[in-house]
Amino acid sequence: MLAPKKIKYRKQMRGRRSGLAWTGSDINFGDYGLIALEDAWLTSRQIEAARIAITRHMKRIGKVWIRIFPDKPVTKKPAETRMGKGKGAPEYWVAVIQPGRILFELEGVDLKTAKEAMRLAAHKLPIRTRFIGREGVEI
Amino acid sequence: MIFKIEATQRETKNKVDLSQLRQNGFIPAVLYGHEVEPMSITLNKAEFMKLYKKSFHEIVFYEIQLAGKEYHTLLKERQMHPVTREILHIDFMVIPPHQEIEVDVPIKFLGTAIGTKTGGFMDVIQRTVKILCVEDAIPDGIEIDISHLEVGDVLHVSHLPQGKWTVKDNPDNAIVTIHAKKIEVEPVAAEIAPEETKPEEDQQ
Repeated sequence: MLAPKKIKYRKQMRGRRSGLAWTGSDINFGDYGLIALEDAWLTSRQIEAARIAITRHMKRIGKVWIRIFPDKPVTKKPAETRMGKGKGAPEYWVAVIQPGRILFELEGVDLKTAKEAMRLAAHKLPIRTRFIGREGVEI
Repeated sequence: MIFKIEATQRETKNKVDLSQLRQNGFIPAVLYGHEVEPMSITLNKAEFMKLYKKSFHEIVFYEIQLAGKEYHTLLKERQMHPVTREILHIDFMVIPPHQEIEVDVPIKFLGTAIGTKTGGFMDVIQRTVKILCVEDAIPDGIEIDISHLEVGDVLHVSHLPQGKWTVKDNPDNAIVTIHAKKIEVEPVAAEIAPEETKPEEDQQ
């Protein structure tokens, strides 16, 4: 699963995720892409599940780019703990996603395979997504 | 390829007016460049999109007809809405005649690589190349033969054919490579739980 190798601070504030993904919203590497239509925190487990779904369907032909990285730690207090006594321990990692963000890119497969691979990946994610093609690529 | 398109001068510049303009089927744009005062203009969206869809595989010039004058331009930049994927704004640059300009030209791949017939797949790393060229000599695209490429072969910018232009990209930049069918590999080996990751400096 994706996780940072080294971090400066163990815990982060939650932040806001309003607005659109004005960066990271162009297809830069492959021919096809999957864009987010909603904002979300995607966990490293969800990203990994989607990646496995894509590579399994593509039967290891072609290339996949993961355009997001879970670099935000999410903390959680243990069960049945009283409130207070500070912030909980880091539990998992998430990528902050805004609408329009490219999640995955594909290259080296035909349109039908790419669409199906992205459909399977989209089912592993908690948000609505859309399949798109690079400018000049028919979809 | 040269496309002719009509434009009208635009006075509106604030956000609300531009949104209204887009809703009415127009695209706000700007025209600037050689011996031209920057001008805010408006294009018909349907008319422009018809031409724009033909412009992905070769270099395209736009002849903008504005107030009885014609401007020979190049599409310098376009802004796209991240979700709807509609064009929000365009920059057109007037090309100076008989002067060298920097332009991104598409690379056209000829033939089918031997490597792809034997199970590999073609990975296109760079689809355009930046060249310095006089306007009359700008090629529609730079063609390169890839039929001899086998699995593991790489073509670099230095392999592109020479012409009446100077390539501005690094000659060592890879353009295309043929990958073998690969075995699934985990993207990152480090599986560190957040609590195990030690901070360098923790300010608590």
